[in-house]
Amino acid sequence: MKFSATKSTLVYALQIVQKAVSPRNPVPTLSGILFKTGADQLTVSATDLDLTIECTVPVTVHEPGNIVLPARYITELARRLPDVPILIETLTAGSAATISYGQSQSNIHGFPADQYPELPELPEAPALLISQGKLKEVIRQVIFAASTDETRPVFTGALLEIRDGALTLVATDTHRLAWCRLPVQADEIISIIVPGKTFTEMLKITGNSEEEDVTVYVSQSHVFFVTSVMQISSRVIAGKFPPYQQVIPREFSTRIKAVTRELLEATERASLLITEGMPVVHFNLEKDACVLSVHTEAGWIREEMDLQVEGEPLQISFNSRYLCDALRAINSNEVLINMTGPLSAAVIRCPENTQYLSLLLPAQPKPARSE
Amino acid sequence: MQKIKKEARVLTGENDRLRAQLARALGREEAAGDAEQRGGMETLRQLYEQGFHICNVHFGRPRTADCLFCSAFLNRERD
Repeated sequence: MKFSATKSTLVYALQIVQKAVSPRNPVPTLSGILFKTGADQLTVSATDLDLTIECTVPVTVHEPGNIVLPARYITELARRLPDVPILIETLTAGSAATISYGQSQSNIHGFPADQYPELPELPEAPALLISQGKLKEVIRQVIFAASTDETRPVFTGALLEIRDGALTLVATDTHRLAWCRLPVQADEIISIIVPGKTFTEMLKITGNSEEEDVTVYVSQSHVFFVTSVMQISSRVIAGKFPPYQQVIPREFSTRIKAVTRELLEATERASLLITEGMPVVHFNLEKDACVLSVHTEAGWIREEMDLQVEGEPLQISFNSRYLCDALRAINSNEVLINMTGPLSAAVIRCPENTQYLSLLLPAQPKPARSE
Repeated sequence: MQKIKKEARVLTGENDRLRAQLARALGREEAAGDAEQRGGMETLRQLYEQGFHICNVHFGRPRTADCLFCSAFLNRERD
């Protein structure tokens, strides 16, 4: 293999794929990045066997070939190279590469490409074509509610459903839930659980363009998100997503309408005084009056907020971190919070968008038994 | 390590068996009529307050915080 590329092209491709490198995996090749050259293009790939990222960039190929180079060395070296044309060439046996830049050279030992695990194969027919910007926004609005507890894998992902001309994404850690629906054109019915990590990485590495599309493919065990430069594939989570529709309350006794940013900032200020235990903020809601307060050993804070309160007066508490996450996910200036009492889940939604909501359970005064 | 793994497997199995037994016992209680059903619900409520899941997602498992699915189940039964 022999190709030349600019520093920026090489660094861009390596930074995209390094998120999937598995540095502590017992399989040594997984700590590396697979380089593959084709017709004037370089494809770099990394995988941890669950998440695989491939990035294809234009380069000048002198001799096609492939090699696996340790991610740690090649990424750091590429980042520190001078801004001159870079020539990468494999040596005989294909387990080391020479990187030439200007008058200098460096040699990195790697692995022959045939030792790299086989990457998941892209199915023939796509399931969905959607703009990158729209898909990212749906993911951003939902993924905060996924769990990080690996002992319950189903909750570490988000349910992705395509049916009845709509894409639905749902995530819950059982304390909160986020749901978003987007009309799409797709004939296939799909219901899979995509790992939260896959979506988190997608948010970081894909663009926000409304014009550029991402094509979604689904196989029995994998989901693929393909753009013009990269392919992100992920093993889907096995298991059944819980019947989430039954936890969404339909009736409410108290409703507030607030400016999202003001409520978020007030909650963030109040959270500053919470030093230990569950970060709880209290709300005292009366007709068109809302008092947000926190009392801790560090001090207290009391904020009278100018917002619309309708319905029955209510005293309710929320985990401030969860409330802030939910408010940050709202993409409108105003937010509606519908409540049924101090023990039932509150429904948080945008006034002008009926296709998005999140649920948040109030914090109970009495803490539950520790596990 | 092998011994610990074996013990963990045995304990997990035992846990599952006890949870299933508890679920069956509560089910029988609920099936035994209105008065007893109220008793069954009360037992479930107490179980929840003692820090265990009563939802069909994680029935019988200890919980560290409130659960949307348990809460929805309790609210449905209350209504």
